[in-house]
Amino acid sequence: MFLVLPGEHVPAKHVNLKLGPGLQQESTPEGDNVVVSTRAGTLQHSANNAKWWVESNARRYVPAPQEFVVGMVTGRMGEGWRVDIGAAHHASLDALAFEATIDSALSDPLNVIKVGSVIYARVSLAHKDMEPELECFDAQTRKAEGFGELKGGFLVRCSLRMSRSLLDPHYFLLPFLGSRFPLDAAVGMNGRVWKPPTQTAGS
Amino acid sequence: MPGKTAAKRSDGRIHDEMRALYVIYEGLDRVDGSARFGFGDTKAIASLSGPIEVRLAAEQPSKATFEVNIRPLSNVPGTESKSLSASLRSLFAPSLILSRNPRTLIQLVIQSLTPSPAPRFQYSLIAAFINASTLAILNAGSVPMSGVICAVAIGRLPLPENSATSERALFLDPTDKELLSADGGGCFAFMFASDFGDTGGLVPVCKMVWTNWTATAGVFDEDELLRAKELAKRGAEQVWTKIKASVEYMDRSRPVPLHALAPSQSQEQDVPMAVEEAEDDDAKMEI
Amino acid sequence: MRPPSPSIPEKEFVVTALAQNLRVDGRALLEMRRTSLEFGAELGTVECALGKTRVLANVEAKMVRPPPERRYEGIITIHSEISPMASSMYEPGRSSEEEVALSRMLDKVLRRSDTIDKESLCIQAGQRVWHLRLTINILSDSGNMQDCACLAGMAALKHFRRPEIEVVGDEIIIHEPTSRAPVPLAMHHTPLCLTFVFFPPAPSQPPPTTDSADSKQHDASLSPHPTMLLDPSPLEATLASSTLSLALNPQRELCVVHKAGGMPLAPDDVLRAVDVAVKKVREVVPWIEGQVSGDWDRRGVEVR
Repeated sequence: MFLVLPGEHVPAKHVNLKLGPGLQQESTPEGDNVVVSTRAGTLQHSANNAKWWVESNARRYVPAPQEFVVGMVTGRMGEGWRVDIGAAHHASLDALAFEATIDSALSDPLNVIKVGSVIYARVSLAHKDMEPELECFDAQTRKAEGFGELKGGFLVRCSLRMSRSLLDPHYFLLPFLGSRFPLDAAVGMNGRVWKPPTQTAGS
Repeated sequence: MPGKTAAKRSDGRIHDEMRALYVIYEGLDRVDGSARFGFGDTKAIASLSGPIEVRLAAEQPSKATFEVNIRPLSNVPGTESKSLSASLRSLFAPSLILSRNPRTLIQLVIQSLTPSPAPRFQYSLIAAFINASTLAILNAGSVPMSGVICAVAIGRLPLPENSATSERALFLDPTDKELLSADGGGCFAFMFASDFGDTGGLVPVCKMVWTNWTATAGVFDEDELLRAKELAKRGAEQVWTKIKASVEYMDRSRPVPLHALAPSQSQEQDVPMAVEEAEDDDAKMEI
Repeated sequence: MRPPSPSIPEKEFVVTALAQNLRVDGRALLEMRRTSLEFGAELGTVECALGKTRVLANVEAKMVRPPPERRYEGIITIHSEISPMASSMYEPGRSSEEEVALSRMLDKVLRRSDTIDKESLCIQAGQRVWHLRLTINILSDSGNMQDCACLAGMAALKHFRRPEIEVVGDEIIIHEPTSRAPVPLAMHHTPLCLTFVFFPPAPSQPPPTTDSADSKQHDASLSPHPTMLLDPSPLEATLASSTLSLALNPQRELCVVHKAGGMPLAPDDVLRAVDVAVKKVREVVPWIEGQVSGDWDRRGVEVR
């Protein structure tokens, strides 16, 4: 295990170098490019040394594009909603950011989603100077694919590393719990996990 | 002055020896990062929240707003706390990459755990404030930094009568008691970053970024300040090494305190389902 | 930044679970979270944890001249500012509703309940008295900080010792702790604060779900009383219809009764809470005293 603190140089060299979270490239006065870490954690790289990142834990979510999040609707805003996803800014979710259906008013998100609803969504826009935006359909198929309102159940908050671990199919916890009782969960990268309604005592 | 530096101090340390360094990640529940740092019994706890929503009045379009609050152990924060808060704010701001999260707030709170008998904060306590803050920011992991700031304090002994030399003895990490007989001292803060050059060693190069060196006797002596800075630098390197080693256990939750009230006997027996719940929770807390 | 009110699923989950006498964190209805005390380097510095809620309390004493209208009494001041360390919802320098409620409760429980014998703090009538300053710093607000702060404050007052003094004519001699053991504060009694929340009784009780549920739970679910919880978590506290804070001592003497929230309570429910609280206080107060004297022994404050 290789620990780094912010400000330390990292020996990342590759023709096709890709830097992940916690690293940034800087140029020295001599004109060389160096890679510097910007947070504390363990330095990780891919098998071919092309991708480098610093693995660490955090509790505050900073939105990144295409990440899945569990959010809570805090307000109505025109033809859309303001959603709390645990980041510095509220995210906006447009009423058109749902799978298009030809059904009746029953499935119209404007009639279904209320203030206080919990939703599972994908971050479609994340830029430091703009408010994050969410979408409730899959980027390729434009189908709901499980996104949308999460009804009933319960919300659990955890650290960001925990939520990343839960998304890892090799991580022990969900299979372990699943072996004890039926389990289903929506895991957001923002440190929120939703469990669907089953027996109260079991969740 | 080999004779003087070899002399033992009242607690048995030599002049360039620090008290035991003490690092605990607190895991306070409602903030994003928290830690406790101590030089022996001189301790402080710091917490960091951010990037979070900022009040409209304090919002900055191109960078995050950075706030520092220092709280004494006893009484409400006074002028002295506010003045030191402002100093530490300008000390830490250059080490944080604030442009990464514009229109947000980064909030640092420092709580002293050691009484400050004098109206001013003791130099070692200020150093503990700075190191605890660094640990809290590292623990939060949500604010990018360009370097790590470590601090230590130096005390200066008055010139003994009929002394042959005019060089006053300096010592690292003074205690409250030692400062009573000192006639000068200060806290020195260094920023550690590889950008400053390559040492070839394990510890990156550091630059002094802040000091409040004061002497109450004699004229200003530039050489003495340099000697103090060199001595402080050696101490700060030890602090940096300690901080780096602590990254490994940063995620582990705080040990359970010794003096816990045993759960009452009258408590209802857990139903089997609740046991599983507890296992689930434990796993979450540790990770 | 205030956290948004709990989401609809969270609300529903808490209420349905309570209808089955289950709490979200797995506790029994009248169970407190794990309580612990840690003592600082100085006498009178105590850190108290109640679950994840943590409070730091400190006592210091100074000699001052008493005001002319109270020549024979010492002075007690309590500071309880809530900093953003407790939670980022508290803004520095602006007193929140919670801060006002907390400082009023601390004032009632620790100062106005005559816990400290103020006359014993008098050194020379009209000339010199002790001024005790109790500072409560909230390190983490994870629900019910009021109870935790009162417990921490009480433990700090019990742990504190002032230097031994001697008055010879007009002179006051302060003895160093090394020559004469410092003396603990004279205290009349030990009230503690306990907070209950109430949820309205579920309109129609579902039949007992698990056959393993013991008879105690079964009895409670049949009664028409509102559901009573001790030591609410933040989620329970925001969802509850009514809050009752009681401050009382192990001798079953009430110091403060504070009922807030819309739902009216029957006198029976209040008495039921008092019974539970007395039992709890009788358990916690001897524990605090044991911890404090244990710490004194470890330090060797008595001069041998």
